[in-house]
Amino acid sequence: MLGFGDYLLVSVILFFVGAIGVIFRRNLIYILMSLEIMLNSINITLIGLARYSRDTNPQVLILFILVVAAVEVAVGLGIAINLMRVKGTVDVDLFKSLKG
Amino acid sequence: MKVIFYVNAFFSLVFALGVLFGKNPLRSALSLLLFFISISLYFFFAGSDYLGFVQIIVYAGGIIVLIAFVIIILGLRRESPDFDISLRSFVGIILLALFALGVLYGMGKSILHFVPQSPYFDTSVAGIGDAIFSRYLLPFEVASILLLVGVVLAFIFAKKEV
Amino acid sequence: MNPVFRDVLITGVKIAIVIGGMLGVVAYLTLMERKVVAYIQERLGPNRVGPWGLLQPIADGIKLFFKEDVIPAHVDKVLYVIAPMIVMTMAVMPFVIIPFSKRFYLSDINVGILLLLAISGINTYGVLLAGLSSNSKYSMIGGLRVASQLISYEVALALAFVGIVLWSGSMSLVKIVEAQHTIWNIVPQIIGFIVFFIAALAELNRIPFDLPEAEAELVAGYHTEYSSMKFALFYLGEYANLTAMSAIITTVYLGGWQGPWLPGFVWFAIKMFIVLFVFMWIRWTYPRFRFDQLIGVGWKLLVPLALLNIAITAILRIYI
Repeated sequence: MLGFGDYLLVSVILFFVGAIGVIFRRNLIYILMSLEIMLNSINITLIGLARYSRDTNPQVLILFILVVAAVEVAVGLGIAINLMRVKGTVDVDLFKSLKG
Repeated sequence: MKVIFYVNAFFSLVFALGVLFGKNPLRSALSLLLFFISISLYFFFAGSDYLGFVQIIVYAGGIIVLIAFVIIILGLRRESPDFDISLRSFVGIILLALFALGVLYGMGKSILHFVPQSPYFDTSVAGIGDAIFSRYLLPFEVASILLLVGVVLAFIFAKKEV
Repeated sequence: MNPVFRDVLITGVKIAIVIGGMLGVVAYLTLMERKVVAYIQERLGPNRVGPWGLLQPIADGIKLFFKEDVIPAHVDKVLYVIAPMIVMTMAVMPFVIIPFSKRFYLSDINVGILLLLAISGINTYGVLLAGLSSNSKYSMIGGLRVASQLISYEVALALAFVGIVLWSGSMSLVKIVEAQHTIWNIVPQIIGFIVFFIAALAELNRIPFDLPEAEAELVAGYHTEYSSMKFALFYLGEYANLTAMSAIITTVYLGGWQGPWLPGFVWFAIKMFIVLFVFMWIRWTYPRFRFDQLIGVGWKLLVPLALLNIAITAILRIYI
């Protein structure tokens, strides 16, 4: 029998995987993609919550997470294009100076 | 049901790892696409068709295309893996693992106190719409402003002269 | 007979009828298009193979099937092979939820319109991947153009659908057709219909929006490097998409199977072929847009019009 625990377990594992990506990769595009994995893993928890507490509210939260993810990608990719133009690379470790 | 769920979980894990350890950015983006589609399957499992399709439309139809676009425009090709293997990363990973275990423990315990909010599970568009336009009206408007800010920011960042 | 077995059998036969019928229509669309263009240009069109050229599609199929299947050395093989499959599969998918007559449909899901949008979202990848994996400049520019075009026009398409959903009060295609019992959606949704039709032309990459495969500048666009059956899949996928889009327009705006006297299936076919004919008529009448004009039309004309349509529909819904 499928329960909330299964959703939670899968969600936490995928969140962990995404976080590993954010911490270990240095390429900005990969960091953005890993962030998307983290956001989506949270969606799994929320849908599990919605399913097993028979509640509408988590589903609305999922829609808001969708909005946030879309905005985050749009802005993040804009930054990536800008950095590529200024420095010629998207390796985040090379962006240390505060003055452009 | 449980078997199908865990087969899907296995595939989403494989695709997530494919994103992480990919060398070719374009391949990673496609792996991310498959990951999103496997996520939408969880929504279908839970019975929320609406969210499943919205997930596919927004992520597959929009976000991945954007990412693929930028990868092509920036000319990112196959490159050597760029893992940041240092002490601080490992400390971060250990802290994260503790956090994940804590979440599992804490939320796993709270399952015992689950109280169903209503006798049936409302996944209809009408139900979600009702919630958005009544209880969540203010967050909904804030989300629209957030989208507007995102559009303006993306435009400013990607412009030629900064 | 075992009821489960009977259900599976009935569904299987239904699927076979739909897919077989659709592939037949697609094959003969190629002939129809050539005949229509011939009469527009005052020619005769194909008339050598069989009476009135009726066997021409079969001859074309055999020719393509027996050509050598060349995979160029510089392509990304996996993506190169997957791309035409995505295009063809996604072109067939919409027929799952389209009601052909009062009783005959494969499935009635309550968020059918979202399924259509999701399919068109995935459809982008077939073309995008074809352009990128080919590793050739023409293909790549074609693929990039098609991706930006599809994303821009999907917004207008989705907003036009919102008007329909507001008017009919449902996202299920079966219910939308039933709601058109007294009046077809094209009358109250005329702005939405115009927006939808133009966006559909762009989604199908047909003239005046066929920039991705503009032969004057891009050789053949995203399928430059394809040959034999893979090329045939793109070609058929294009016509399958055309059929699907006509079926969607028929269902959503033209009352689907509803009509007097004749059985529903016949009405559906008649309306669908009229829409198909209009698509062909436009293709051979208008010149091509420039690319910036194309994106401009999408964002500056169609999206505001679709929003206006939503506002008008909402007001009508409240006061009528």
